Amino acid sequence: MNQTITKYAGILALCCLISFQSFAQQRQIDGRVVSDVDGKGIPGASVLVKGTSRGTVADIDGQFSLVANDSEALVISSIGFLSRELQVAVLQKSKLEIVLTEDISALDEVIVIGYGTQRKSDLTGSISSISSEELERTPTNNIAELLRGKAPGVQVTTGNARPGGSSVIRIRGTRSISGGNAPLFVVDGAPVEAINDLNASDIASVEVLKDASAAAIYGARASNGVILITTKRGKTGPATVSYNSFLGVQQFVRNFDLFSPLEYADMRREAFRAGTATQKNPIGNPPNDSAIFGPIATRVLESGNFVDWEDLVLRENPIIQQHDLSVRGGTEKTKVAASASFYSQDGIIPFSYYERGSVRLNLDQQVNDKLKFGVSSTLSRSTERIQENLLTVLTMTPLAEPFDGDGNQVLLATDDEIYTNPLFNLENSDNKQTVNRATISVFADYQIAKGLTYRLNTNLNFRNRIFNEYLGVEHVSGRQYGGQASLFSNENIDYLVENIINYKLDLKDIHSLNFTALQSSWEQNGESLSISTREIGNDILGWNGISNGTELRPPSRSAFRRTIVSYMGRVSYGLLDRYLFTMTGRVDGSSVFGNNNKYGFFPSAAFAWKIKEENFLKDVSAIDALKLRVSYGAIGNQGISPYQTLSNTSEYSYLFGRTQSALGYLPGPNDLPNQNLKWETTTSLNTALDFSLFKGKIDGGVDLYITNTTDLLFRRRVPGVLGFTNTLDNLGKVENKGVETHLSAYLIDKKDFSWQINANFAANRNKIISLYGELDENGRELDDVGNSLFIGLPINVNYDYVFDGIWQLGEDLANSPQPQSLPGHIKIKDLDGDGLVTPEDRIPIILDPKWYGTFATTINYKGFDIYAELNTVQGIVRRNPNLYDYDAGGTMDGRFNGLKRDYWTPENPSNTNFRPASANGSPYKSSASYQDASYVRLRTLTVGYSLPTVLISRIGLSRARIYGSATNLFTSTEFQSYGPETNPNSYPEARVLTMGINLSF
Amino acid sequence: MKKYLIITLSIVFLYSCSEDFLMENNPTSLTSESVYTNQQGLELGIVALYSLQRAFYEGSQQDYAITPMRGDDISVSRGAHDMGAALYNQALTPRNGTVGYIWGINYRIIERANSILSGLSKLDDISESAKNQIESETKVFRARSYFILIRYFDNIILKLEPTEGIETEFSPANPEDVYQLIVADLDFAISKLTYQAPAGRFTKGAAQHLRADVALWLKDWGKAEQQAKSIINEGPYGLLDDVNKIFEGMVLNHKESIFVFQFERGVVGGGQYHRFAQYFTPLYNEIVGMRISHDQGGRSWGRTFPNPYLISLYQDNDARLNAFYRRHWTFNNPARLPKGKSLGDTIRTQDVSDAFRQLSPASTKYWDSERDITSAESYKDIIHMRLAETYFIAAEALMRQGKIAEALQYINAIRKRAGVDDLTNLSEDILLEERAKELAFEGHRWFELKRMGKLIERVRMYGGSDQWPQVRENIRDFHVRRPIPQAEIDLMPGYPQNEGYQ
Repeated sequence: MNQTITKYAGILALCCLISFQSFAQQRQIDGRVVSDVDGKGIPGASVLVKGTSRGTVADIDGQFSLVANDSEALVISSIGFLSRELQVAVLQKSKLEIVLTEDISALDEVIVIGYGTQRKSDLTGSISSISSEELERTPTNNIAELLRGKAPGVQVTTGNARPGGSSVIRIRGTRSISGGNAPLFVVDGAPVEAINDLNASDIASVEVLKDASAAAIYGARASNGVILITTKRGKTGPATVSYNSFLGVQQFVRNFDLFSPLEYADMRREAFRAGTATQKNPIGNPPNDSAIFGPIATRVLESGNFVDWEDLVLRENPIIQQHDLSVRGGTEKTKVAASASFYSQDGIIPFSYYERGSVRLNLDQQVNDKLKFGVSSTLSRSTERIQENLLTVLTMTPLAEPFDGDGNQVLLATDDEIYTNPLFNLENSDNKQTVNRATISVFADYQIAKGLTYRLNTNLNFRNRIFNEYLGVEHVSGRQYGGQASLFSNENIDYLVENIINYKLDLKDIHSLNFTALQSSWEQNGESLSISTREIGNDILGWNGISNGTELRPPSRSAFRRTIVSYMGRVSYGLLDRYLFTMTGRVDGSSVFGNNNKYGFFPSAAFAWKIKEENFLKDVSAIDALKLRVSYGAIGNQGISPYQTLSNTSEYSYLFGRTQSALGYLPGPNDLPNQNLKWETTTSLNTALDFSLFKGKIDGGVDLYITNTTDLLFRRRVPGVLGFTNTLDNLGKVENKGVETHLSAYLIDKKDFSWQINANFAANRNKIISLYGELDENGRELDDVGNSLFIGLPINVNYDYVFDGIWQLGEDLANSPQPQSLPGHIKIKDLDGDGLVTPEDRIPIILDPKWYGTFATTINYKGFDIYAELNTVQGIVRRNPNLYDYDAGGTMDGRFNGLKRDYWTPENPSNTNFRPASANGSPYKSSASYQDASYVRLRTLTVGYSLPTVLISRIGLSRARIYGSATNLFTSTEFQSYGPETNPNSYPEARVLTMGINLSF
Repeated sequence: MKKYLIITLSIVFLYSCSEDFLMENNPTSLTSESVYTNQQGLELGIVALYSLQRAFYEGSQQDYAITPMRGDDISVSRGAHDMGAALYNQALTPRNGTVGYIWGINYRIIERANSILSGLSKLDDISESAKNQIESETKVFRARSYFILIRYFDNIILKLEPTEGIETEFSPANPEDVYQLIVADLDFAISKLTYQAPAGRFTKGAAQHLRADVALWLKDWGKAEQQAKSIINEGPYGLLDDVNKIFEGMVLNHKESIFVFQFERGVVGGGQYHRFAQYFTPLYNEIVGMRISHDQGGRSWGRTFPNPYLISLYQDNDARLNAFYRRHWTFNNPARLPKGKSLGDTIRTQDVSDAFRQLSPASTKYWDSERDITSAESYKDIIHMRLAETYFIAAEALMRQGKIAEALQYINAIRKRAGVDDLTNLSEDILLEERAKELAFEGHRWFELKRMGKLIERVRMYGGSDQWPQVRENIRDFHVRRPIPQAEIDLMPGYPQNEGYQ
């Protein structure tokens, strides 16, 4: 009955409107839209007749004209200004000037907080929000790299720099010893394991939940922080089509010299002389060159045709490119965002590449007043060849002949038969990894009553990975097997079903209440199969010839399922819009824990005080906003693999009587099952002050936090007599405390010229408070030396000897703490003074950085924009394999080339670098390899130019920008490697020079 | 309004979630319940024990595996890598990795054996013969591991029950109790096992051989004699006529072998490679004019060599000199020949940069001509017990009882095969020399020296070489046993360290 009345009323109203309109008077409106800041016209401002599609766009001076009825209203809007709505009837007839007020209330932007959104000014927890504009400033498709330097407390370090590789993200330090430290990624409401396949251009915003209060809604998975990624959705209005593209080249960079070929030859001679040294004859007898250099080396030394392996092997200027096309638009009821993107990157190391294509369709449909549903879906496919064995290439001896007289590659390029020609290995092996991913989320919102809504959120995430590899019959490993073909495939499917209730209540501006309740079930199923055969005989078919292999390796299969059930409640209460309270509680049940400990409860509470709203500050115009926040809460970590509480067996097979292959099984091998395993819990206290000054010209905040992680998931050692080496247990306590600040300021803020600076800074101190709880005779808790874990020190330490110079000729070695050493060997500090260098003379060396930060500046002048970003990490220590590792040439045994050093010889008594030696070389090389890896890096420098709107609007464009950008253009560091965060045996970080365009219409 | 809220909340939270949703069941792995609670499972467990036992030699645990071949009077080791066991130098500390590995792998075998025996004792529906077979084989594993541990460490823990949870309080067992268990386990196995079993499995012969060796340690000469003679006279074994055949080829399951670790490449159960093939051969390929070739030993690492003392024990006409060693290398690389040399010329000390490293004699018992020329991976069988050693056990047991003439029959049988004359008298030192010549680098020497109380004396006298005498200079009285691994003591507060290693 009610419905019928409503319907008739609607029709009636419509009729009235139509008839009324026909009587209304039409008039011409000429006017100008101006800014309140400088009174200048706002070009491109939109002037629309409300409720119609009629409208116009202001010209370069802000002038516009259109026809409307007196009964109608105009909506005037422009990006960066507050919209205005004016009744036509009241507009003055001539010299109409519509003043738009600049939107300084950035504080009132809406932030995604997980299971809902909130005004930024109402936040009580620690959440950093990064907009798509900020993300677009560095042309890369690596999401982690996009986040680098963008938010305080979010530390991004290079993980694997290969094409398609990923970087490591740590939020507020390292907490867990065995439970993992990676944050939880939630894309459009669904947790995902990896974000590598996500197209960066699709991202609308990224929110980082850092404190317990903000993250507690994700309970048991939130201990390491949560990164919420929201993709772009359609909006009402004419469709916008954008095309973004960039093309870049990569350059190999190293900040140290290798020995030149002749220096290398001298080093090898010295190494061989040292190889004959004894305590009686510490100088040694130099062997003849004929005993040092084989015929190839001898020939090359004579001819001077040295090999520059870097030149020969590395690719010059490999290309990166991205193309991204998107359409966004919609009506009041149906909104669509669709995109297609293609990314490809060739690597510096030959044959390595990564390619990815992805499509996305996000759809929102209003079904009726109460019901709305939406879909977020993306499909992607990537292929790559992983080629990482750079290491053996760059340190190969330059005294080599990689090609024969006819220019063909030869297997043995050097006199060293063990190390085959690296070019040969690259060409005689192949691999390809393909990853297909489909993510589909469907949600429905139903308004049950005023303020009360229900959401059903579902997600399906499918990932399939295929890895094929072939090692040819000539390849250095493949030749041992007569060629080896391997195929690996893996499939993971996640399901998520969530029921969410939201209730919102506003009582006369005094009380505001927001209540959210959630029930969620998540399940992941994975399975994989790996097969390989050997003795393939020839390379013709590569891995496709797997069935030709006559030697079958046992196939390997694995399968797993893990599940989580959750209930969450959150209440936000605001009093007088001045005092804000948030309380959250989440119960999680996870399959990976023992039967007695499946469930964990994670509560949190937060309070925020908007000081600015108090009477004593209300009239201070310099302060726009001032807010104090305090939060306290608990979050969990369930980062262990499934089945660890079960007593699993391992397969052990044996061969009896030469023909009877028998499978056997026994528990272990290493881990004693622990049926009482439970959650690792992190409690954290966060105190913060947010401020905004001078009409938004200065904006900033400081966060102080202290977190304690207890019941650490820790794979502890157990006595070997138990028949196991380890067990996963909950024990110990780790503390992280730190400070984060960020500040942004508009130094100049005029229509044609603006200059903004952004800076953020974070410092974190990590400390192990307790481990097993076993005390020594003085009541001090015992360290776990075997795992390099020390009470009172950070988790990240190396336990090593202390370098104290080089033993010199004439020193009394026989009576020294190193009686077996020779002159030229490393001298170690005898810390315990027992007269001998023993393992007790090692000390923990702290590797964590003291602080890290970013300084960025943005300048806009007319159509030009300049963005520069400096990243720095300070006080970090790393062990440099270039100085100690055998394969990296760090040992200077004469076999490999390596980092050029002023090494000790009897004639050159260095006190910093040990003597090269082919035998009887210095022990303790690692002690001399710790370097300060602090760096300052000009990570991004971008210069762009946007063509004037008047110009491009003639060809139908609304935006046309071209830009050039350089990534890692300049780095200042003392760490001698291919980048301050990469090791010589990993893929080198590249400098990237990019050109790009952004087009929209 | 309230009504709506309550109804909706009820729907959401009543969404029933059965406990099954969170239960785990690993689809691709058996659990300990499936192994320890039925006959088939226990039999799978025993197969796994063979594999676990072989694992000591597998993969890259290079220094662990050769530790029984070092630090004695007949070898000389080169300075590289973990040299604690080889030179008794500062690397032989409680933190030495080899020590920890020996401790860990044997207690792992013991724990699994205990679990199998415990599971077996709870099983009703099993035939007597099946039960005896499982119990016997398992007890040989347990006895063998305890026998290794007690000989290396002296002060060990006797644990006879499966592990149920974390325990950290342990104290050393009385060695007599350990030996009592070893004897009981082996005697049981000998009474139930037969000589017939597929190669690779423990047989009555293997149990008897171990038992005879144990008897020597217990100075139970009569028992040693009885067991050794039983193997020789009743077992299906016999000495090969030709010493060249003992270590020839990849498969060593011949009639002289009593227990052999089985390796076969590319076959399920064939094991991961071992690296013995290159431990005992010098780095001849570093010599200018040389390249790696199978006939000269393949890829080598040159870690430990027969010392001059060992070589000097052989008469020139002893067939074992050529069967067990290579003492000369010849130029083989036409592309790299030094001036004035021809292919096939014997390389002399003055032709090389480091004679010790590049020209020391090699033990060829583990040479493998089937691996790839650059490969460090070998799948050649490793002989663990062979009849020649049984002969020596018999001889020693007889000698200790004063039955010299009978003892000499066994010694001379071995000598005769090598083409050398009979001995006419016998002493402990002569016995040690004869054992050295036959069994060098087979992993027994260090133990027999320790058993006779001759380790320190003989290493000081003969160990290493005149040019590389560190082992002689370094060895101390406390080196007759290994240190208890520090990592274990850290985990078992209060457990005493062996004397000299504190």
